[in-house]
Amino acid sequence: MKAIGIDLGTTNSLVAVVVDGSARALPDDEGRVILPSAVAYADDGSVEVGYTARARAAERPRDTLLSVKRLMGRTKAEADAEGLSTYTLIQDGPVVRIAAGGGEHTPIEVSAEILRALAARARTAMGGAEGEPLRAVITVPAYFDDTQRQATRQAGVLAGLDVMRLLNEPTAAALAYGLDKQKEGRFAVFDLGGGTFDISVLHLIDGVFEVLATGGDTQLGGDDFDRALALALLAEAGVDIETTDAGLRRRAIQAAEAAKIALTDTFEVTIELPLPDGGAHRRLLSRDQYLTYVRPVLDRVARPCKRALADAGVRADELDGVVLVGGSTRSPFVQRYVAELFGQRPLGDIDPDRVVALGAASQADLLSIDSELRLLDHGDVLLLDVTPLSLGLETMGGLAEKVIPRNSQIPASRAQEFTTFQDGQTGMDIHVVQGERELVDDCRSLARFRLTGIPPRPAGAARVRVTFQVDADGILRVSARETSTGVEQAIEVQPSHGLTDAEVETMLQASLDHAEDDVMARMLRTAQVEAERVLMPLTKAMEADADLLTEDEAAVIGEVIADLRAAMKGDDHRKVQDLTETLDKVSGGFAQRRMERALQQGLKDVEVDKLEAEMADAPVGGGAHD
Amino acid sequence: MTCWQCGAESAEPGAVFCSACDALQPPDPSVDHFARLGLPRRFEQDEADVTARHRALQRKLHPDRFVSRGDRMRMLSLQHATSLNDAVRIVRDPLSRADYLLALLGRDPTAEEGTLKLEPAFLMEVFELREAIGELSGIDAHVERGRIERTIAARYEEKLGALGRGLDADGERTDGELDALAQLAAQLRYLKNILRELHAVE
Repeated sequence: MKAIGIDLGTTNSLVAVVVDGSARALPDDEGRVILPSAVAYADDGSVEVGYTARARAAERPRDTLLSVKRLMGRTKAEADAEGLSTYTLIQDGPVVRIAAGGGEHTPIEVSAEILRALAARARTAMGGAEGEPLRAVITVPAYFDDTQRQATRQAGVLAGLDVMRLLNEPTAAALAYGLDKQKEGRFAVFDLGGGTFDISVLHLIDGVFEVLATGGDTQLGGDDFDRALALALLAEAGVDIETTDAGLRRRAIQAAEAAKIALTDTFEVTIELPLPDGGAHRRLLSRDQYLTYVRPVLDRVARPCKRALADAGVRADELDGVVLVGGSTRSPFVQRYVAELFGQRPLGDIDPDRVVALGAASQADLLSIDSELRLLDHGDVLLLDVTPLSLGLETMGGLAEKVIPRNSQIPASRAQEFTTFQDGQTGMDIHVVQGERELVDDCRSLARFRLTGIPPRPAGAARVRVTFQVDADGILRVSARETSTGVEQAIEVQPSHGLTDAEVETMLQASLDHAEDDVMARMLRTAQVEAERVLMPLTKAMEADADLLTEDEAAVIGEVIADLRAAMKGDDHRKVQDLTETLDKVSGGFAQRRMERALQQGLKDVEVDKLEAEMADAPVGGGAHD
Repeated sequence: MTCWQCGAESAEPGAVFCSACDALQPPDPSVDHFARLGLPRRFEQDEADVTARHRALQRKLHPDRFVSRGDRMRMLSLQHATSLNDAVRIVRDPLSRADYLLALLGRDPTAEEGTLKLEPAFLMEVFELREAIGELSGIDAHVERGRIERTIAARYEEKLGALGRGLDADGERTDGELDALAQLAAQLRYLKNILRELHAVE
């Protein structure tokens, strides 16, 4: 059977396959290609998926699951914090479960129901037998992290699919567009859905689709336009937004959504918002007026776009086209804004609802058995993708050291070397993080593990090499190895919880907003670590070899140490640096005498090494080396 | 080299595919990043050509090309694709290319970081630049910032040109010449960091 492409969407899902050289979305027996991403669980354990399930949402709200994609790879706490779900969520293990229809279901299982329905549709269309394996490419938002990707892959496996590849949605759209139009050049894919925004810049050349950069905002979509207008309407009606009931807020959002849709085809619309006092707020809204309300929301797409262009090293006027994807790009306001932002009219001649599924089908075909059997007319195409977010490690002082920066081409592998910080250290904690910020606390923790069995040696003598490998699906594997003995540990990064969209968004926004704070915080942290590196061995040495110190010397050193300790508690990194240098100078004679004594005593080589390591104002140790 | 699949001896050392059975062979670890992309080992490069070669090789070696050719070949293709991405990253960027060429000459600038002493004249220049950046304020700060940025960028290009010419010069290099090149590379990295900080604060 032919391999299929699946767009597993938040609101709607589709399945497509390449037939006679071009990709087509497969319809159900009533001719509809869209399958609402809704799953209804009945008390008797039976399951309905799609339109019939969605129709039950009003009548059985708790048992009808909508937008389950937003729960993939996330915890109850995360979903609750975002007010994402009206469902009953249970979390007593690593994966959250939803209570519905008398049972409990993980988001992975719910997604698998949707995938199963699409697979059945494909089997019917292609005449395949039930037991025959069905190979599939499933799309994910470019910003999906490791956990969310793994969850999606697992859903595919649960649905009985052979998942050949997870494909980023904007890349899929570009593939559909490029193959259909046989274009070459540099393109931006602008993907604005109901709740997320993705932007990718690609270079289509010589049959290779090379993603140059990707960016986005996982908390920005069509919903935000409605919320902006709803807030304005409530304010006009004199309603205190803080105290208004949920029902009125819901009605305001519905009125805003209806106005947005109406304004796609007309220039003016009348809005009527019923109020709790029995009256109603009535007003006429023109396109221009609407635009003033939603302009702040639109402006939020500008920054990720500019950053993606900068990361790609492409100017807006060098783009050969801007492709629109996602339902929200149907809006003339969005289209006009995109035209303004990129200085050209966007291309929108492929149905934005289908384009992702069509691209997934093309990729499925390209990955199929033999190139001779490939069904696409346009032949032999290869996709080269990138990592959406930086992957790194925690180093001394809680700093995040980027190992694989965002927008690195995948597959990718990088290694970083660490040294031990303390004498006789036999273990090392490896903390893997994802995000763009400088401090670990501001990034998302992906996994922690401990490398044990390091041979006890003086600080800095044992070296640990940590290797990151990201495969073509964007999934990370980390291994650590002590280089002298070869003690090795490897883990597939499988964290107990996923990186939330909100966190990715917050992290990214914050990395731009707080770039200056970050630079200062980093400099302070670095200075503190340096100071600690001089202080720790020195205070130990002063105890061990007190007889080598004159009284005056001890007093001076003691004073500088006290000043430095005080400065380390402050936030002036220069002061810390200066005092560290001073301490180094005033203790120089003592260090020299200790070294001489050690040599005279004929200490073992390793001990001399240790002393030298203590004395040397080496650049880093315990921290990361390139 | 003996093919892991059919046992045939390859006439060509470093061949990517077995000439007898067409099986993908493990990447040769002794091949440098330039050779991996089929490029001459030198600083002067046509960036468009670098990326075109990378693309052409990925078309042959990417894991997507080996979906149905068994686990062993898929694993080897992952290694090849990773090495190619590594190679293009190093060779496409002028400063990392220069660092890499220096490393091939036995002077790894990343290993020397922190031990190599920057020339006093350069430190003075940097000190003045940093002071000027520190004093930026008022409504014209962005104009002044732009001017400083252009000054640094011009110095950067100048030094990069000198480093490139030095790396591509014919004949054996003396230790003194290598020191001078390592010094230039260290200065370039320093200037790049200042530019990055300048952007971060912006």
